Amino acid sequence: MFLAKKALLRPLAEPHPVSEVAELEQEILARINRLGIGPLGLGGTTTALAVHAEVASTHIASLPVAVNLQCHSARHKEIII
Amino acid sequence: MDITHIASPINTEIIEKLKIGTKVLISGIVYTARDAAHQRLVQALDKGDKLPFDLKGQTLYYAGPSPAKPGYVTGSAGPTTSGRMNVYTPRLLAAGIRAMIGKGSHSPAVRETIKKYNAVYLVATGGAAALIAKSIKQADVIAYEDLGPEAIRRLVVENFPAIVANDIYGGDLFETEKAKYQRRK
Repeated sequence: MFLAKKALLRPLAEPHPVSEVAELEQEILARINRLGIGPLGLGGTTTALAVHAEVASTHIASLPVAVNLQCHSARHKEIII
Repeated sequence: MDITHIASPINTEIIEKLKIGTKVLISGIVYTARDAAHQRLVQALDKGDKLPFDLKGQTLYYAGPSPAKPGYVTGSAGPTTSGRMNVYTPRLLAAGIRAMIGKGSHSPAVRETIKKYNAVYLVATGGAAALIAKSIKQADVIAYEDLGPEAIRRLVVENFPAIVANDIYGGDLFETEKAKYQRRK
């Protein structure tokens, strides 16, 4: 969640300094905007203004992902499986 | 740009004219209710208790306004996610509610109930809460005061802007508009 907040607070559309991560940001943005959801879900080619990603090392068995978006509340849930 | 003026409480004739995508300006009485208030209304219906207001023909606005600054009738009053009311909405439509104002889509089950009871679901603009507040001329807590911002407020509104998202013809604005812009590649 810390990385997600950090990504959120980066100035809008400033790409990640590592080119691989910057490419990932562009790819995700393009895919999101092809969904057609648009502002308020009422259709359009702009669903997201930007995608900011931050990365960190992790054990390959876990691969956790945290996402922050618009007014989405940062609720999270943990389960033991 | 075509805009339809509608009065709330809602009369059934106007409902027939409302089709998905229709822009409306609502004037009259609107009651705020978020999930906690919905739950209490449905519990009251289950128990056969007296409801805090007569639901017949009324409009619910999924919102919990922020406190009013001195000299204002309300603080910001924007719509909240409608999906959270899905479990309660059919019951309230059956009990007389005729219009809902919210943000985002309602479930297919709610859409069916909207058709069945000649109702309408309207979307307000998310993120424009301060602007929406300007169309609210009076706000009084009428029930469940302990819920704070989620208490039911009776609002007097003038030209409250919204768009028809679900109509009595079974249309869904989110599905039709998304399909126009969706691209595979």
